[in-house]
Amino acid sequence: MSRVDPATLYPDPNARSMAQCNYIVEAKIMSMNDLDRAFPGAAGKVQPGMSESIDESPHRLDQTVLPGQPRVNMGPLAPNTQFTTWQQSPRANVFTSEDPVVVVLEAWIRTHRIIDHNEDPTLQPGNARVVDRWKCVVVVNNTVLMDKYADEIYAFPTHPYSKMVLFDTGEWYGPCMVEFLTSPQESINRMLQSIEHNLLLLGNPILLEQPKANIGGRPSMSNRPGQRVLGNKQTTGFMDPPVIHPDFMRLIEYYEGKMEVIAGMYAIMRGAQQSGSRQSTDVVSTIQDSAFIRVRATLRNLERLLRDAANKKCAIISEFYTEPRLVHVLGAKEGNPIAMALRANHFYNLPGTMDHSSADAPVPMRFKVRADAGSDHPTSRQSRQAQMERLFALGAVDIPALLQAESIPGWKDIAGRVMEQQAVAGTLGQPPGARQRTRAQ
Amino acid sequence: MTNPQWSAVDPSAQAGVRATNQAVPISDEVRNMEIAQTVRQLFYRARDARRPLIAQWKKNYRVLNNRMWTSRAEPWMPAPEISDIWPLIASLVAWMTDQRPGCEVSASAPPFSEFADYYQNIADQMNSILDAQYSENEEDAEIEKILWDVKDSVGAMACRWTGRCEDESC
Repeated sequence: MSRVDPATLYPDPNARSMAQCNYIVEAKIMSMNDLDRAFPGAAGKVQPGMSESIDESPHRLDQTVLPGQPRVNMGPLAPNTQFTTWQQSPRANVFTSEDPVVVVLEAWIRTHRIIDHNEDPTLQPGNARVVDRWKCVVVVNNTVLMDKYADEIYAFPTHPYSKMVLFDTGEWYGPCMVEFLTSPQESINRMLQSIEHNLLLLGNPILLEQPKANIGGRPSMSNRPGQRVLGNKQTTGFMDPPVIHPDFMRLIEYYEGKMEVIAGMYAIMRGAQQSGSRQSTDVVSTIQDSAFIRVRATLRNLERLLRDAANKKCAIISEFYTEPRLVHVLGAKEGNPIAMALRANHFYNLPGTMDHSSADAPVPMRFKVRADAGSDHPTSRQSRQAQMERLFALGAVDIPALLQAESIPGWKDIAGRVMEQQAVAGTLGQPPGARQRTRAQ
Repeated sequence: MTNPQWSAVDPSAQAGVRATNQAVPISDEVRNMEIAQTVRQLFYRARDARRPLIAQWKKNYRVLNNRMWTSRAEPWMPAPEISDIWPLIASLVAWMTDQRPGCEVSASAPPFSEFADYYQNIADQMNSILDAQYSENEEDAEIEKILWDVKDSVGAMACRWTGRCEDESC
């Protein structure tokens, strides 16, 4: 399973969800070597070159976000309103690699197939059912490198992609958190600029000098700190900058508060504690965890993504683990690395032993998948540990489970030693002490 | 109903139309070109519809990475960039990756059947493989990248059989 750059993934513009999607195109820039590795013999069929203009996610070397390039629409304060005109760099989309590359379009297109009584005898004569069948077409320029149905490529009949959004509002592209936060961030920056500028004028004020002073004429005056400008005899002296209004800071605090509300990440969730309050760790954990409701909502979306991806992954493993393997298991559950021997076609079911496979030939097994990203658990580690301590005090979990939840290194050995000591003392299996029971209450 | 997008790609989907055109056989080369053309048309349609979002994503990148001010005509002007967005988004992603996401599978075998135990054992082995691959392929890093993508509205994951999967130790 690997992340796909969303900028290179072009879904059906009419689709609002994966279920509605009729096609997805993934556009990739590949070197000729990579292309030949992925599709042996393809390098001899296609000419290198950037045949299509494709998008990519911005990155540090992206010429449109370099320091010298125009940025977001914030300009200097008035009267210095000399904006740089926003325009796309002519070289912005020019690919600068010296390796010969091609643009590969991998299109997954949904088709359908009608299955009637002749193909599936379980259907009544005259009845039919329609099943989706996705097709993969890989294209470079005018050359088709692959044109196959998904079920000819692997065990599942659909495309390999799974997607997630922050909140599923029924659109393909979910709400954009950064877009929501940009406006208050811009306002904060502008106000901080004003305040800083004001303080600079206060510390390094503008000097008004007499006309006789030989400082040269200036066609216009800006409010640059420390400069000297011509005044008249009466007004000679330092100019007083305007006083910073106290509402400035209140407005900044307002924006910061609103940003926390928009993001659903309050100060207490980032480790900050209210000044003057002396709350216990448990209280802070409880407050934190109740504020995590939106994080858990997103975790549910993550679980949907993982479940979808794991279904495909299991199908792939089932189908392609055809050779005998010795798999090293580094599972967190066991604590110690172990190895597991798998025979050839290990995950192919025995014919006639499962309800959905009446075929004579073995077929890759199917699995039910349950994904867990923590949406049903307390989000903060302290809360999870406190929950486990309460359960331990109630006798609902044992020592190994407690130590595992506390992420104690070598928890298995420690639990074994403690349980041995308890067995010697004759206290193994007895309820925990009074202090723990009190805490549980 | 025939899918209109696919009709152009797969002539076999247009059985009726094909019957009238059978007098003029289409060479593989021409057919491939038609398929390539159709794929490109689909790509152009999707790309053009998505283009406005790319500009927004670039703006988001600049905002998130403290590149908000335009080039200033007066270099002495203060240009504070105190990012409030970065810590918020970073905390959001950090909280979501604080727990180890994982999947648990069970075989879709009829319970209490003769082979239920056998298939449960197979499912346990699949669970061990998923665990091993999670560590081996650093899938937690992939999930973290997806969560960073999601801040811009969508994140995606693909599941493929690659050369790396041929490694017989995972």
